Amino acid sequence: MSMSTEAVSPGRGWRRYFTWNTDHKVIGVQYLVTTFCFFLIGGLLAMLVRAELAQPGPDFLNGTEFNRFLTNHGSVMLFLWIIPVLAGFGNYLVPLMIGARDMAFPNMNALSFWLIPPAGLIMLASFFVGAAEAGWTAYAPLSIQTPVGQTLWAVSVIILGTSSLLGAVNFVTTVFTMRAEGMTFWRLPLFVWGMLATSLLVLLATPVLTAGLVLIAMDRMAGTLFFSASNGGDPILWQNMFWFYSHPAVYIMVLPAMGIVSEVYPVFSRKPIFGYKAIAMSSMAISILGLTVWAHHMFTSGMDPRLRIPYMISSMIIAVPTGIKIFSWLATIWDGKIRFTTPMLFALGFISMFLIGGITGIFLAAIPIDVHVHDTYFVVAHLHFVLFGGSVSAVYAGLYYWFPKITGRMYDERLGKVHFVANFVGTNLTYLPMFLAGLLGMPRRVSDYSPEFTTLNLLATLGAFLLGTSALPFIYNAVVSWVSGPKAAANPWRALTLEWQTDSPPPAENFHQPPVVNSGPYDYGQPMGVSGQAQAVPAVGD
Amino acid sequence: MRERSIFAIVIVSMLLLVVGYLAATQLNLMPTQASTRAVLVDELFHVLVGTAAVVFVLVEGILVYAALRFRQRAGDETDAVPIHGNTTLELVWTAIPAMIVIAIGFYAYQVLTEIEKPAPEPMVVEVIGRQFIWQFRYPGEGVTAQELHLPVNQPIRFEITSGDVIHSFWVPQFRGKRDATPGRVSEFLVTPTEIGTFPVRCAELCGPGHANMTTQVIVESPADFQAWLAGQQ
Repeated sequence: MSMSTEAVSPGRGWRRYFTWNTDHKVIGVQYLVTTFCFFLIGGLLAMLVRAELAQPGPDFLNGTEFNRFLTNHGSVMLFLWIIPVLAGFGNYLVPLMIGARDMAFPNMNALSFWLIPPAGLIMLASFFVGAAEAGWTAYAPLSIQTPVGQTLWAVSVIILGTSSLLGAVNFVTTVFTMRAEGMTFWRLPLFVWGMLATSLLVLLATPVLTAGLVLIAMDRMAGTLFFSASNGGDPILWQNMFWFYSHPAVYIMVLPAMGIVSEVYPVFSRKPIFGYKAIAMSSMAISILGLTVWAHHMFTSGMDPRLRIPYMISSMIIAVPTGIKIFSWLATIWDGKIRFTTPMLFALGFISMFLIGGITGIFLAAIPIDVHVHDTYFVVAHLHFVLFGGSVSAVYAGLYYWFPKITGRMYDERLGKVHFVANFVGTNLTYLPMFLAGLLGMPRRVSDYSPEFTTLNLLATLGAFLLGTSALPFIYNAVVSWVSGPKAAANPWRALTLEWQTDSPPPAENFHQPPVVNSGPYDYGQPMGVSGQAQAVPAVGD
Repeated sequence: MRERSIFAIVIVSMLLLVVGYLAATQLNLMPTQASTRAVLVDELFHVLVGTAAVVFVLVEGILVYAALRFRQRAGDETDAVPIHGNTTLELVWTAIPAMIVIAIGFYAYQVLTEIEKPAPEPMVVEVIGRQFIWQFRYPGEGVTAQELHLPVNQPIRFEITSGDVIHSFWVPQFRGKRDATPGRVSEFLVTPTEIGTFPVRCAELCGPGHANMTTQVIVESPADFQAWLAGQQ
């Protein structure tokens, strides 16, 4: 049975990771490792920015260099790390979790991955010709005037958007058509629901950004005037097109992360997830509402004052489905039998920090407060609590949780805990002072600031260097454990979802025989799902 | 058991109310209030800080309590009691947050209407952002300056635009900003209430000199303002 797959998965061992390979597990690992490298580059750029800001006055970067590092920090982190790393989890896990042999379109899947390295190289190579310096938001007309690296930036983001779209088509098709016998929609693991909600957002929103980027490139190269005010164009048009994608993009970066932690809590509490349907449906609600909030980024733009009100309301309402998730997770661990493994620690850290990002979102939605804190360090703090305290914590939770499945080996718990503590302290130390700096009057994206903000900035810089250092125990742990860690059992966590009911790592085509599903994914503590008895009854190993 | 949990809920609610009240009244996180709108914005802000403190302490409290109280006992490999949900509880934590955000939205709308209510006879000041300076024009007076002078307690209508890329005109002590966009004139209403000197900062990334695109606003008595204006003509 596995013989036939040898042809489509050429090579065993590490070499296959450097080839055009159509096995979703190989592609998943390609995504995870490649994007982590970009994460390190984005982090290095952030540390340079924070080093310049450790004290007031120009230190070692001039305004242009500062803006280039800042712009590429944001672009790398969002487009080359957090969006594609979550797609990497999706690639590895969705077929396993629904009991499929592979993704629906394996060759297209390989293509979505192989678009990423060239796009990343284009973005970073732009440093040799004058990198993009208009911020990751690339507001026109500034982004029309900046050097040629801005065009490379637009090309890179168009390619990455294409990769994202191909992936979304693949996820939706896979979930709709490739589910194992008995895997109904109400038995889908919540991570799969998260990927489904995210993929719908990608399909609806990404084309609008791509169109906007094409217009930017044409204004720059073909002499068109789409965003030129003096010639009948409109700079605000870009803001609408950009945020129509880039606000939903926040949910693209958060919904799969919420899916990851929803897998982790039940396993390490030995308890079913609380309110399964409410969590699944709140993902879909966030997805739909998320398409209606974009203009809250434009409250100070001079847009029609009457139009601001519906955007304020929709931005606030989105807190409700988010709150449903948080309360359901708390109810899941309540009265459980909690194991403080590294993935569980990161998942608990996710709640505690994402909460801060969520609450401060309400402040930003309230127009009278927004017009004070918009484009200040308050926003920088808010978005990093959502994306670093939130999404990155969940990514780490997922990397530790599925490490035994992906590599077939166990990681070192003690190093994992060191990593968690350094990451948790570093995140809060970096971003908490930024709220205050913003409220007191420090704009974002400045290479210099008034001396009154020195202490807050110094704290943030110390935190950023702690955060940078905190990646080291993780890298060491991952590399050493992958090479020589103790062998992992098929199901070391005694989890009930399907990916754990096959070998670690899973064989080609995933299952020795097609699984048949006869219960839910989180039936802990029930006769059907007593630990060790799985959601499905496939033949596990021998 | 039932009485004990009601007792616990009452105690926790009272503690949360105290936390919320203290956060709303004691946490002073904003700069000096130097305009009429600053007072209203800060009132809204403090209500939000109080509400946020209650939610924050409640959620983090439950998280830490649950993590400590319900950790696995050594050697206990059995599963926990399976509870899949509770409709009443789920309705409560959907309805209460919904009511809170609707109330906040309503209040924010009221504040917005109030701070943007046009004054009967505002003084117009034109603001032009250019890489990387601010220009202030006083129409009818023939005065253009790079430092903003305003008479205290006089309603001002700023008419804001840009000569090149997008900038954003921000005086933190006035609590508000408005983008300076080429091809558009955006209005921004302020009534300064404090005599003093405050920073004017650019809040929208506008190029290499963005950080240094600053000047100051000098709010002075009407007599001092007229003297300054005469001196500029």
